[in-house]
Amino acid sequence: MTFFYKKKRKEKKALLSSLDPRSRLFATLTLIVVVLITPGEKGKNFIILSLFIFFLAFFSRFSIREIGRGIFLIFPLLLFLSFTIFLTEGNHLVLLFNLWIKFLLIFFTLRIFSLTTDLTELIKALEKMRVPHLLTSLLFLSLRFIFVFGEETERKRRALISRTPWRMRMKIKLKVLSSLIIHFLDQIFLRSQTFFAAMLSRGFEGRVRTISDLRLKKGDYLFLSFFLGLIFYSIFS
Amino acid sequence: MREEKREKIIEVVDLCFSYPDGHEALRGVSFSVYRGESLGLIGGNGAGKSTLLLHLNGVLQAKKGSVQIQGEEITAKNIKRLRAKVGLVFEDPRDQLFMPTLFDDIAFGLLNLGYEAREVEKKVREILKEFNLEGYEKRPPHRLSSGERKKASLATVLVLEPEVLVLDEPTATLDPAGKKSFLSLVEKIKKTKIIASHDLEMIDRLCSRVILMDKGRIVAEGRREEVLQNTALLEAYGFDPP
Repeated sequence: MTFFYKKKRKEKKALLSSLDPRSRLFATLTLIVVVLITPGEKGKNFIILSLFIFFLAFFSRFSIREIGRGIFLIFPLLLFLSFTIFLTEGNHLVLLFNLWIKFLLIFFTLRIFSLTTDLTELIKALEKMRVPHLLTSLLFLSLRFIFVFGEETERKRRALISRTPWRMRMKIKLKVLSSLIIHFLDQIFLRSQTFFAAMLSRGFEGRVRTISDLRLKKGDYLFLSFFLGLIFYSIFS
Repeated sequence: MREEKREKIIEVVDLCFSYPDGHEALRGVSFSVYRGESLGLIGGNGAGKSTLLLHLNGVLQAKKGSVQIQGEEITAKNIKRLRAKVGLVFEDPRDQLFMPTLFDDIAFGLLNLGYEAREVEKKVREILKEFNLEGYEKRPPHRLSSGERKKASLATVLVLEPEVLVLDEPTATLDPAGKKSFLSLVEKIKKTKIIASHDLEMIDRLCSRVILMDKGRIVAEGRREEVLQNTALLEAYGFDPP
């Protein structure tokens, strides 16, 4: 709850959040592509890209701690991939640098985008960019179901813990879990049906509609010009 | 006799419905709802109340029998228009509120009905003010308290200005204070209302006519006093008189 208010207050002040979500989406996707195609030995280019991401972080008004939240979740994968590098031939240090810098830059770019853009804005941006309605509706519904999935998982977990204070044998544990999964899926199905009924009752016809009030402003053009200039410089320098 | 002179707003004739697993939820249900009245629908779990309510809004379609809204039978052609006339508030507001922000949730039905963006914004602001939910526009509905969620789910329906308001177990998820405040709000709504509930005190307070259902059938129908003061009837179906 506290985080919610904190986030909203910052969004109001943040320069990045005041940009049209299409500008943010375009910059995010372009930045990811540029990071991916930049060769590992071009350290100077990575410094430019890192500085630009730092600049985005600064104008998002979120702290580095907030932006970096969850970074440890990608570490096991990074460590595993780092280990596999030593099984290949070539300059291991360059390859390692390439892997880590790209992962981290993409992670920070996506975090800044997700912290400054809510789902409605994203759907509006995608609709304005003429992404098919089916895809935007699917995106909306799948994200809504993450909450349902989370709620049902928590319910089942509580039900399991409340009646099993002792350590279960693996055989019993597997039996209980398989039974729980069936109940869980059944519950998800039932709630999905209720959601769908609630949507139908308010005139849903297969397309999630939003009020589109998006308009590219001077700030967007300035931001995009600066961004594209920097990207061209980074690629061709 | 007096009721027959009033305008019938909903007419259900011999409605039958079975779920795909074969469970017969409705077995020949027939009744009418008149403009301006508050009809209470009572019955135990599995009596068929919620299934019946879903038919009134066209979410479920009659397998046998018919549902008429202002004299028009619900069909695939007129469903969008007729659906807008019957506003359905679900039992659990968490199932009814699904958009990322409260503003989007209230605007959802209006946009589906084809309202212009400016009109949608105006209507949403008005209903938020009416329900004392101003300042909550950007909040995700799942972060509201249960009382606020219930009010919000009612707002998402009332903003569409339906002719009939249908409430499924409206007080089921509320604490006593939330229930009191929600019922005062419902009492002030001057519309035709259908309220399904186990809560006989609430039905006694809000409804003028009552239908008692059991196992998919109507077993009693009459004025509030006739049904709610019939102790033998209520006890036979597992209710304590209010």
